[in-house]
Amino acid sequence: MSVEFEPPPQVYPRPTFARARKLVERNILAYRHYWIAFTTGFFEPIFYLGAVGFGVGQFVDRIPYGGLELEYAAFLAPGMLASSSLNGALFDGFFTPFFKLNWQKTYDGMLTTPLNISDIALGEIIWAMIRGTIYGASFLLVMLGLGLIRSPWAVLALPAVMLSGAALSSGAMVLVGITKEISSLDKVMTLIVVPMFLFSGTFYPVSLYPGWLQPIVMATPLYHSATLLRDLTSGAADPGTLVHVAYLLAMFVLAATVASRLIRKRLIT
Amino acid sequence: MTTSDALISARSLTKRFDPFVAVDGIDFEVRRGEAFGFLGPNGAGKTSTMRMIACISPPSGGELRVIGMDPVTQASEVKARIGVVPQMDNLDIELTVRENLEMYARYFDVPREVAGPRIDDLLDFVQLTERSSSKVEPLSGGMKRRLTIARSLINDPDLILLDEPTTGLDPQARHLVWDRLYRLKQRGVTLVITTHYMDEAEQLCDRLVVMDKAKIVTEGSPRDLINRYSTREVLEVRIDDEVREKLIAAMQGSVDKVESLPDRVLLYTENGDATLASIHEQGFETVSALVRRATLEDVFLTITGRSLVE
Amino acid sequence: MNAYKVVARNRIVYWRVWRTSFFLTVLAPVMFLSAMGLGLGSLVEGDRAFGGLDYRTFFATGMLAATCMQTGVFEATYPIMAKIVWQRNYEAMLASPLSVRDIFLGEMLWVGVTLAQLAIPFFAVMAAFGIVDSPMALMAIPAVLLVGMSCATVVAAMTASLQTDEAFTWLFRLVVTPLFLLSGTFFPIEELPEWGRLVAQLTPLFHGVELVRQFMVGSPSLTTIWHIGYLVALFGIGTVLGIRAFEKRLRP
Repeated sequence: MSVEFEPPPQVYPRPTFARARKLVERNILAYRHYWIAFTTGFFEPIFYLGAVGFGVGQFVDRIPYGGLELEYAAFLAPGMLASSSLNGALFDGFFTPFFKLNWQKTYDGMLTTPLNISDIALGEIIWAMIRGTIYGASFLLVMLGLGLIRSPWAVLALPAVMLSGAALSSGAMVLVGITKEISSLDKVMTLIVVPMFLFSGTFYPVSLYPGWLQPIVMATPLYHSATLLRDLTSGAADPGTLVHVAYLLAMFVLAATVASRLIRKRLIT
Repeated sequence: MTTSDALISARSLTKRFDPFVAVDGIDFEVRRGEAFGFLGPNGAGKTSTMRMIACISPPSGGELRVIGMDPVTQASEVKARIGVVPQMDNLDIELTVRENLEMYARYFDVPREVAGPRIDDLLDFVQLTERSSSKVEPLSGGMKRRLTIARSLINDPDLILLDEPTTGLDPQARHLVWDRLYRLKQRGVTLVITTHYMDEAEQLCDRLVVMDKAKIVTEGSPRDLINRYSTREVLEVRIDDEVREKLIAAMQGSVDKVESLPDRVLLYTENGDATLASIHEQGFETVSALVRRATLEDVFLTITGRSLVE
Repeated sequence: MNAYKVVARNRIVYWRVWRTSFFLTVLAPVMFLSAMGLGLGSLVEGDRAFGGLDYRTFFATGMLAATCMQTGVFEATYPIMAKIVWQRNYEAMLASPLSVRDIFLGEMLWVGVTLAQLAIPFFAVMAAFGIVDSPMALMAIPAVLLVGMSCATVVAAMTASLQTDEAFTWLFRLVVTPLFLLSGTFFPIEELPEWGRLVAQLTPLFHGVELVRQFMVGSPSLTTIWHIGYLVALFGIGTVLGIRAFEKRLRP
């Protein structure tokens, strides 16, 4: 017969940067074998910008935005930048960790070293941010080359990309904590990612949506990410821009906490 | 009582996955330099105990100290000084053999100038030098196991936890792994091993506990336990089903104990050959008969009435 | 002819996830058509540029063909690689009376089934959006199956000759995505520079998209035959190459 024990209070070690950094090193090492995936990831948003921004854009009137009149490509480009940040966050924050957690059991091995779960979660988020920043910076350079940057505010676009990457990849890590089956990948794509990609004001202004849909759109992280970047690259930034910054910051903190808790539950049994 | 050289000490250690109790208030102590075993069938609670020692699974009750520290609050510090060979290999399949060791050296903060030569030594030790730039996936089961063992040594640990180190390996690979573990023992590394193979426990362990249904049922050195719970020899007899019951009835009393297993009858005796001769004298025709030394398997059978590997 | 047995095996596996999968298959085109067709379409002017179609119709037809191409290509990459290298299903199948040819044709037939499960709901959604207005439009379904399957044969031939899956990243990022975007799906190829237009005209997706549009507007012409001919020829060549590559790989 077992005696009834009160479970002892659990004090978990906090993450340290020194330990989280090791995970980043590991990902860099692993990516040396997968450099193709790394380099080609950069082209996707550029193809979209070309096809939709310039291809379809020729048939689209200038778009009024924050008191400015933007041609379609200039309107779309920051949207694509935000989408690519979403894609990157999803890949590094969801798909790869999903496989490492459920299939490759990579994390189980790491947990036998001084690394703890919080270090791993922090490390993956930092890595996602680094990759997102590299992509973001190259995309901004392409925008500059194509004359789609209209304001010196754009120097803040890079930190904004980093912030959006941090928020979105923390969100993605929450998904890692709640999904188990390989079929959940499909559901995440169709129920969360695709609708966000299409309906977050990335392709056209939110005002075109029916009234009931607008508040929903405005609640999505991609909307805030796209709008923040658009404000900065077009020069329409005003105090209202800070709302987007606040949203993304809050999401980062909240999602990172929740994700770390959920993943701990999955790994510590 | 905790002695000063105890590397691990557990008192009333409990792990529950509600409503199921995996480890039910066990006490044990592992001393520095010994090879300590948890022997028991699948589901006895061995792995749960190992995971608690490895700081991966927090205990639900009782006390546990590993290298003098609390495995929950001082997880990183404890883990820094132990090496783990888990039941299922969890090598980093996106990296090569050598990179696996390099990366783990980084996780443990082993200085680069120390790590390089140590990795060379370890690859040599587990006979994987030639595969050092290969990816992990194409390696055979035995090679992966050896790489996992090398990985567990990368931090030059005080204590190595091996959870069923040879399950699923072919006999040749098992012997190679045993040989490497034996050499580690010679070097004075403390080993904690779980296994459901009695031959493994006999070969490797100085001292062991037998676990069954989440509890420790007995403790001692392999020799001790055999002497305590079994006779010197065991006679295994295969015999036609019609005369089986007759044989059991006939031999009851003239040997220490008779166990009837589905495929054979075990007779516990001090002198197997003499017992066999007496069976034949009584006119029983045996299909086959084997006299062997008593093993831990017999100890387990005596204590629990069941065999180890079902 | 045992190819249908390969289809049967795939169907059993697929059936388990079919329910949610079907819902998701319908949802995706609904979202794409409302966001891009209706949303972006409301900003787009100049019907003439889109071959007399409104942007909604132009986009939906392009998207239907492009999605089928993408799916056809995908089905011929990782799933087939898995059955050759990782799970070795084909090896097991070859121990039965099935021949390499059966396996290849069976896989392609399965691609067709997958595509039909995608194309029919997509088409139904288009109809619900009021884009379909002649019975001739139904011909668009076999047309897109042909697009997807002919691409699948060629890609399957490539897959069978690969040792690792690394090349798939190149294929998707640098071939499929540009094709997807630039073969007259989102905007007419007339907008491309001269050389781009020539390249686009050589791609199977361009022919597929044109074919679908001709059926949708109900105006097939001589060029229809040319588009069909191109795709059938591609399917034929791909099949020959594919069976050859499978033979070489599975029975070296």
